[in-house]
Amino acid sequence: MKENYMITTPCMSRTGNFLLKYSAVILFVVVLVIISFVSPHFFSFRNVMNVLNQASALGILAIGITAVFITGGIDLSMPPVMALSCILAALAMYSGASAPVAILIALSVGCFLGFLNGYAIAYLRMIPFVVTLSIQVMTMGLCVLLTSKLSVPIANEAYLNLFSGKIMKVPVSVFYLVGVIIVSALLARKSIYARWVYAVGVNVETAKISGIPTKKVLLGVYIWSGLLCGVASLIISSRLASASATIGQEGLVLNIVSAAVVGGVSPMGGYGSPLGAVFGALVVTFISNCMNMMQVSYFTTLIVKGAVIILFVALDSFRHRR
Amino acid sequence: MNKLSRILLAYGFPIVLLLLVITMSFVTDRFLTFSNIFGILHSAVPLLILGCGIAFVIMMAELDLSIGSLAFLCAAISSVLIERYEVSQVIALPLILIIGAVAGLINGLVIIKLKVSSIIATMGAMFIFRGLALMITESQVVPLPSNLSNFGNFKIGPIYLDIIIGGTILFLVYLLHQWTGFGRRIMAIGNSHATAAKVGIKVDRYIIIAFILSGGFAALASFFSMTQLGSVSLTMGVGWEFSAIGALVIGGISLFGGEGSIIPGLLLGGITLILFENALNHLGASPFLYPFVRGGLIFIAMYADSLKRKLRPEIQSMAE
Amino acid sequence: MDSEVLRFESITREFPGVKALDDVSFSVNQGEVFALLGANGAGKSTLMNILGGNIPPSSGKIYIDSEEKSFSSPQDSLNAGIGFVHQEIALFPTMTIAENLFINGYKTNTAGLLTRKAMEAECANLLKKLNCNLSPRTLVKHLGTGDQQMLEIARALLINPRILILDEPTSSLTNSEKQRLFETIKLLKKHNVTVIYISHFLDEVFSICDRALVMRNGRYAGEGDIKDLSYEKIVGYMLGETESDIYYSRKHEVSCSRTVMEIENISRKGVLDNISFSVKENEVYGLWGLLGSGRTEFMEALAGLDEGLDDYKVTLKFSDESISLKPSKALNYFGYLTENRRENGLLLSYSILANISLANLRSYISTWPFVNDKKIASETEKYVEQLGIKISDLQQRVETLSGGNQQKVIIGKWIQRAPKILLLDEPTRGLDVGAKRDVHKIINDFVANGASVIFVSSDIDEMLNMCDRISVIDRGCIKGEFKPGVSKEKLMALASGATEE
Repeated sequence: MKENYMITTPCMSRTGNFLLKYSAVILFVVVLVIISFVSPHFFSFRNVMNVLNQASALGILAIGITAVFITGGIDLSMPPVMALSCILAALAMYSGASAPVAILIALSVGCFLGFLNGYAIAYLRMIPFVVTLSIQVMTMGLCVLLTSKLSVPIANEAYLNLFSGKIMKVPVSVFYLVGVIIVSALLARKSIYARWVYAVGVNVETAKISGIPTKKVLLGVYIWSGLLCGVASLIISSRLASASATIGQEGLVLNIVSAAVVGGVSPMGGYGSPLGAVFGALVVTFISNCMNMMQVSYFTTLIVKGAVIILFVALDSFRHRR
Repeated sequence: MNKLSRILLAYGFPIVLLLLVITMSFVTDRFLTFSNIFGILHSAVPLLILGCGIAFVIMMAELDLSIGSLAFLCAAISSVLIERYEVSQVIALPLILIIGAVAGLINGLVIIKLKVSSIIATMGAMFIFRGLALMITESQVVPLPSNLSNFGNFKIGPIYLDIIIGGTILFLVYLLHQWTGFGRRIMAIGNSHATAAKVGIKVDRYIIIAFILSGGFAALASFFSMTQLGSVSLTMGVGWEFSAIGALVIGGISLFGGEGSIIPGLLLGGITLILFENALNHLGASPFLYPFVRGGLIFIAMYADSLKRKLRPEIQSMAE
Repeated sequence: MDSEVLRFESITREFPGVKALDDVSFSVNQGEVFALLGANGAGKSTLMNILGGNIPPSSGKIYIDSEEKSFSSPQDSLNAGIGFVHQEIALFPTMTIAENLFINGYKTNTAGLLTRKAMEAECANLLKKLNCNLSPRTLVKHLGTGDQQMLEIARALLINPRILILDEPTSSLTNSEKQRLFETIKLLKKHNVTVIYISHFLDEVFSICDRALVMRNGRYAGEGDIKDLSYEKIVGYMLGETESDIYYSRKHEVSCSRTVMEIENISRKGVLDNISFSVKENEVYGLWGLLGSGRTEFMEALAGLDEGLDDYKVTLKFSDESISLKPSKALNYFGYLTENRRENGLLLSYSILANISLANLRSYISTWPFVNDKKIASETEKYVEQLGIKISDLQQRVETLSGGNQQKVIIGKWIQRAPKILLLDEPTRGLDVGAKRDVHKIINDFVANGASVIFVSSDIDEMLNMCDRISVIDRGCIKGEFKPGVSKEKLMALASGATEE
């Protein structure tokens, strides 16, 4: 017999609504305008391709965290998982493994760590935040332990060509990004799994009573984000032609989370799409570039991105007031 | 669940602590010496002080990820003021307490007023504080004047001065938590926000105060850490939040809120963490192994925490 | 002796769309145990929440000792000497008894530190008065529900109230705990404290109350001294004149068909006591009980959602096979409409389309793992039409629908999956007459097609109209099984604690 005595109707002006809905686009336009003032030659084909190249790994990671966010969880372990994936792949190649084997290693390491996260969260009922934070610390420890803080060079030509070459002046990584976008968008829009993921994010109880295997769904999204860490690790390691623990630096979480929230993915669960997250990744990459060109220091970037996260999550909680 | 596993759940970490001490005292005769014990306590002081503040946040089932960066920011501000602007220490040092508290207040306001979850809000704040600190130090290590670093390692007999000060602070916080209405109401909120609101506790206000405390103690922890080290490095505060949360969870303060104590909880948890590293050090393990062991230890503690939670479904259903 | 302590004068309270209280006036005397009775939704709780300062009245006045009072917060009400024991236990499990009792105002010394000794002494004193042998330092999580209930009462007594409101205090107590509570109430009466006792259980009312007042549909329905009242009279007040034509009249065609589900034993210590019955094909099987009778707990248990069951023996008997059901698989065979549609029945912020197709996505897979949206839309359209859900389009968010249409969306979700057995917990609560009839018709059509329904409702007339058989459940026990011809008074009396002679 609990009645809700309060009826809250968001009283907002139409301009307010508009600003809320298109906040990310507005931010993007502002960034583009600033860039065109700072560096009029920025929008050359080569330069834009360069930016896309930079955005590709981030875009893939943002797609990974999107699924996690939609269930209302969080995955802080992504950067070290990525680092460990390519470190193990690089070490394997170093001791003579072929490129396909290395790729397989990278992807399975990602999936395995994702599985650990997901298992602890879904079946041991631990809090996503603490699980992924512990996995982050441990994985990072393992990375440092394996490499002694040195970087492992990658000399396998096949591997490097596969992920860091160019096709018709377009970096290969962009094609991978497009591929991941197509797959994830298709899954998100049409697959039964995505429907389940969204349902779990909005209301676990309803989902459970409706016969949805909620635990498997949770396990699945963390494996998915782990897998995409593996994919991103291939791109990054071949771009650098090496693998090291620094790939998994903490600051990357900032980029991944800000990409997702700018792209309209709600960390409270239930809302967002992979396409949005990729758009967010683009915006974040442009912001980084813009600040680079303005010769703003690294620490100002941190401040700006931190503020962007808080701002967009506040907007989000305003939009989906529940 | 049989009786043995219940006992393990309840007293697991004190037992581990005891076993570790016994084993180590057999392995090396330098372990159970006065100087090593006081060394361990000495290096545990910043962690314990940091834990004091965030304990109140965790006990309400919220989180604060920004404390490590905030400690760095506070250290940066005071050291730069003292070293580069020659501001008196009497002004610069108390100032950081205010800065810490204000930063915590801002965190709290963002969480309550903008309705942002505490994880995300403090994660954003974590990067902002780190950025500000790097800006202030101009990305350079700042040394401290010798009187301050002397203070950090000052000994009265065999005992470091900061053990005494830190111990006193810990005791005061214990009083605040265990022996005041404020502390009890924090625990009530941790049991259930909804029930606490029903009996008339102003939940939002208490959450904001807890974040202020968390910020203030982060500032205090930064003071102890920088005086011990004699300088403010650029990686100061990295991972502190994880260690602090880990110390709390190992000490039995539940991440689900409403459970745990400052003494013995936090005290034991913090010492366990430091002790493990000290033991690794004595065993001559690679320093690269430390974070891995620490992470594993904390993960086990967190698993035990959620297991304990699972074992009392009746409480869960009542809390709603 | 009969001095008036509390008087309500024309209290009215409106919620959007509902008049929860309509011009209620009565008075309560000093030192009496006053029963406030009525069916679910009669307005008792709303009235007491107004007295407790939780919600303000729309109009009307409250007098205490002939002095007009207005309560804008629970604190005001406490200050006026009114202690309120809520139905749901509001204690903090990880804290001690003393800490819980004094949560509204701790005693401190001049240094601001708690004076635990003093508080614990006072606490022990109070508990002793209540015949509670508990140390004030015990953590509340170690206590049983009965003791926790006593603590709630002790907390209310700490302010030395003149009026004590007990809202369904016995719903989770065992028999002996209940006796202890009654002793306490008698003790309070001796100390001249006025007790307002809200309960569904008439046997309790007869054993401890002095006077009773019955409410119905937010209005005053009747009152009297307990010695002048009988079960029949009170039940009569509670039921009032019935307008049976508002219900869809279902034809009871029990074609003595075969049994489809045999529930041999579902038990959970202290909650459900060896519940067993069988359900037939084409049958609407009714489970009638009051709030707190264990009916919702039973439905949850049957659906396999209760992990703490002591026993679960259920057999499904389909024409071709017989399945011994495991709790974890139960939802594969049942559709379950829960009591709280907003909390666990719907994805409120999602579209009708998403909600109706939710439980049945597997059957819409065209090429794995993709679902066929066109088919979902056309099927959903079909059900929306068939169930008469009034919407502008399928993309409309469910939270914008009326309660009746929301309920139909959930029913649509299940009917689409065509389960053999549908569990309906209060499917028509809060719906208007038209929507009720619609839901009834849907249920009728559903069982006519070869399925079965277990139906739970608080509305006795609805039960008699809809069900082919009715079991009465009271405090986790089945009290008897009846045909629809049984008299309402008999059912009500049984559910209120009378025993069948």
